[in-house]
Amino acid sequence: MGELAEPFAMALPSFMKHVGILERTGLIRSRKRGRIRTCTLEQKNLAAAERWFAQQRSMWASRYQNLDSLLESLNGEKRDS
Amino acid sequence: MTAELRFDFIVDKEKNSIIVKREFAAGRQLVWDCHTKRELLDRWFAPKPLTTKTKHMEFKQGGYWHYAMITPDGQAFWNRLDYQAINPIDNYAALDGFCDEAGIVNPDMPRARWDVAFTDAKERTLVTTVVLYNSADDVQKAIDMGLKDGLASTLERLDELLLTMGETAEHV
Repeated sequence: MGELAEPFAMALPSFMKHVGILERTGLIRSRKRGRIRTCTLEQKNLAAAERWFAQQRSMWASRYQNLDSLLESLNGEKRDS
Repeated sequence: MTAELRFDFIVDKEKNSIIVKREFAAGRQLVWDCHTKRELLDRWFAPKPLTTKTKHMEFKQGGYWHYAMITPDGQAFWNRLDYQAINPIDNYAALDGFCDEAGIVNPDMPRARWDVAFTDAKERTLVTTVVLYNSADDVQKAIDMGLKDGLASTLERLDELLLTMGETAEHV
């Protein structure tokens, strides 16, 4: 864990907090052997999360493009009347 | 064509939330109406190529919007949004949920709270939506079940579609 924390400009306890969040969300797994805790990346979960977030982003982007068109046509109606 | 409309999509893992910010080239009242009136919601809410169909809408605290997003081949995905607080034309809070045609919420799917705020941005309106899950477990469930959902493949094709439409838009 100390090795992992080294490149980051934060105290070890803060670093552990961040690692805890990643672990709870299933993005990494950690195992303690004696005094040494080792982290592994959960590639599959990470990829799944990225895919889902990308889908959500597409959904919002698309619905808002629809709204752009609707607003444009509503503004047009107002101008015409 | 005016300058590009701001669109931010931010995932805040620490807060179990997704933040979506988007500008619209219209006044706040009109943008608010589009978010709160069934006949207008039906004209934009579902992402392409799906369409929106409202079964029930009562836009008031304690009321709800029950709607389907329908694929071109007729498959319907039912959702509901339960309104918890409304301050026209500033913001509203609601609880989303997957449900069936009768409006019964699927208890296996986590429900997220939506905080939707409308603010003036010069000639435009900025809409900020915070989608907040109760816990990291709920986010994980939403991911796992969301990817199994029939909607997933449709959404995956969207990316490609959006790129094509973006190219078209530039020629306008």
